[in-house]
Amino acid sequence: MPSPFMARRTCARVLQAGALVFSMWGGSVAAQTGVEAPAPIATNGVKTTERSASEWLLRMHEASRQRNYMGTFVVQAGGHLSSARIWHACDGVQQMERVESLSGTPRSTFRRNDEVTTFLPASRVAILEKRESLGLFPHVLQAANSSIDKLYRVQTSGHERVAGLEADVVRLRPQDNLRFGYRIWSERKTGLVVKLQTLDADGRVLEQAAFSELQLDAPVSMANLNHLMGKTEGYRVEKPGLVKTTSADEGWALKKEVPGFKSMSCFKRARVGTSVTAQDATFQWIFSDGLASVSLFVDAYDANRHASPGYRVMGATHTLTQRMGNWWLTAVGEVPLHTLSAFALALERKD
Amino acid sequence: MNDDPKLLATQPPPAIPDNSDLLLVQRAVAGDQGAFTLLVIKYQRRVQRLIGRMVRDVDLVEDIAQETFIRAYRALHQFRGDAQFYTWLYRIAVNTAKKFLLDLKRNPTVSDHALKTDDDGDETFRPDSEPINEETPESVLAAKEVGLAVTAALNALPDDLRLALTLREMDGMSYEDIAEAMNCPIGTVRSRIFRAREAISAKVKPMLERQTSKRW
Amino acid sequence: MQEVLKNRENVSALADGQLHGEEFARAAEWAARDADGQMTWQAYHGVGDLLRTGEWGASSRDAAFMARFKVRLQQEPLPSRQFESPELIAIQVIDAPARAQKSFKNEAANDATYRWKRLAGFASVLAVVAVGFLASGMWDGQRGSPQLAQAAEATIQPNQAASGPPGDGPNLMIRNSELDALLAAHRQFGGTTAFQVPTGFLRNATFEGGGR
Repeated sequence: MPSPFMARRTCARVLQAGALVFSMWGGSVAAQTGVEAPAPIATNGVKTTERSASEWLLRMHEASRQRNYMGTFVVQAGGHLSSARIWHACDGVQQMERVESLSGTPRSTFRRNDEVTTFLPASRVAILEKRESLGLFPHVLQAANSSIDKLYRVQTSGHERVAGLEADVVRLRPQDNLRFGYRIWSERKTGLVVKLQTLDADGRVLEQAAFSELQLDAPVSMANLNHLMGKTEGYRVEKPGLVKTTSADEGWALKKEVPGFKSMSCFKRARVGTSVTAQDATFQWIFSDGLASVSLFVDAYDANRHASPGYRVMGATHTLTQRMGNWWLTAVGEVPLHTLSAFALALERKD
Repeated sequence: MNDDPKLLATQPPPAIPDNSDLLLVQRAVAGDQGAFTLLVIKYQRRVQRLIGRMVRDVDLVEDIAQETFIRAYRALHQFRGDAQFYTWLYRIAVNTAKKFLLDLKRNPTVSDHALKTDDDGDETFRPDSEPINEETPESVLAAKEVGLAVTAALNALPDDLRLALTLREMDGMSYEDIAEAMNCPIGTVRSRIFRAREAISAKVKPMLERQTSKRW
Repeated sequence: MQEVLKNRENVSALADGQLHGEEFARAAEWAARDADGQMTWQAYHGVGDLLRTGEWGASSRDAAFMARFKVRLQQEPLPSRQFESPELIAIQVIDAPARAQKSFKNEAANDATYRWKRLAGFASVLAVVAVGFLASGMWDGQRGSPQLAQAAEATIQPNQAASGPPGDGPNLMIRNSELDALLAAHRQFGGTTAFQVPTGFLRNATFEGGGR
């Protein structure tokens, strides 16, 4: 909290002289008007991009696969602030993570590659899941014509310190209005993402996730994480009823593709306390453009349950719910609302 | 509300009772940062004056003021609108200044020059004193110059314009009450207040432009 | 010039809390974004301050202060838009569909969503538009517009509780556990993105919006 106000005094004088501002509160170099300019009028830090967007992202992804670390992670979205303690370990074969919540409902989340176990001590419930999506990247990126490079333009803008580490600031600008932009702070030596902001079309921050403390190459014991992850005694183990399926099998199609978004997978999910083969199982259809994802959830319309159409916003996550004849659609994604509308309008029933 | 007797002596001046601030707050909460900027422009001098009673160094005053407004922005969704916005902002300013002062005291490298010399803790307010700041003689003169120009322009106004403006700004009367007091329709009140402001600022704007940098 | 004077008069009324609805929104926009608007807002308030305190408060430091503040403000996440509050339509959402027209070729979508801007109105009276009307027109074999007009009239004042039986017209957005479950499902499985490992996973494991 104590501001280095001698430095601030210098900054303020520099400002008065009409030069550029370098905000010391975690901001980035910006033009004097303070308005997000399409191309920064900067003298400091903007250089021609050498790496493409997918090269940056690959580097960021690899960084976490190659070293241990621990720290404190803070997420701000929609006025809510959540934080957690993080441990990460890898041994070349396995990736493990542990996330201990510091805010909200107490919970411990463990990940081993694509297996995730969430412990909820208050209700003594342990939820076991297999999240195959976690294993799909980086194959997604390594494909020859990475669509991310077409959908987002990359721009570096200097560097800043986050959690005591020097990081490159990388801006990903969407090339259309169907998706959000990002500002990524990538630790200089390793490429590890230390801070990430999701930005709307005006450059405003919708959501921010960042390490407030980070210790790279910390001594995290994978054996210990494995041990903790398996300790389900005393917990009621739940495995959410989930079955992989296809849109064709379930009778759904998109009459028109939403530009940039590819179909990833489909599932049928059991509602709590019911079986996945029940009539009222929810159909989930997942799309991704490489950085943002959209889920379309479809249920049979039920007047008792489905009463409030409309939309909601929480940070970068937008939700659209509406009735479609005998069906009820909930579209969720880290995308602008009109993108969700586009999906809603394109979804059609194929009996 | 804060019942601290020391602070009661320095309650903010009676606010003009209307919901103009609340409407801007609502708009800011809905996502328009420009609306919040309007509130900052409206209150930034007042907030800096308030902080200036506790802190001498003008750069530090500005730092604290910046932090105050950012904290207010982050807490905006908590502002219920049942109290005046400035009252709410006032408390944030005081708490922010206190925290800065506490942090500074803990930091041995910071000189006392930044603080008020007779600061015995953080509750000493001297409501009658002028904040001491490091304005240059030129800027002090410029402020006086503008002040004189405004006063002259005010006195040059036709009576009905001057009265409407004075009732609004100094007595805090609503348009309805002013309409009754001046026995005219509300639309006329609105027009008179606008014309008064416009006449005065027509004199002031050229000076403002000279004083400040061109762009905000 | 008439236009400018009209705008300034609106700023004067805005400063005194006299404007509402679309008038309020337009005046607030102009005062915040236009150079003359900002000058006017600042000057009018300066006049009031001088009358009350005898001091002309503005100085050469103000522009610098505001410029610096705007940069900081840019870095701040937008304020809370909680699921249980009636303040649902972010202003930028209303603007966005117009821009989306450039890139998205679905004419029907553009035409229908663009109408939101005209009908939905702006912030001070908080409008809740049931988007369901938009696409449901196509499902019920009707065209969208009569229902859109109906939606626009359903403006809700702040603090007004949800009313009407379920399914009856646009409702207040009430958070419910079903929606929470779907959100959780999206975060669990909708993670086929470059950010998922590690940042996306960490973000989802950390973030708990408004409590479960």
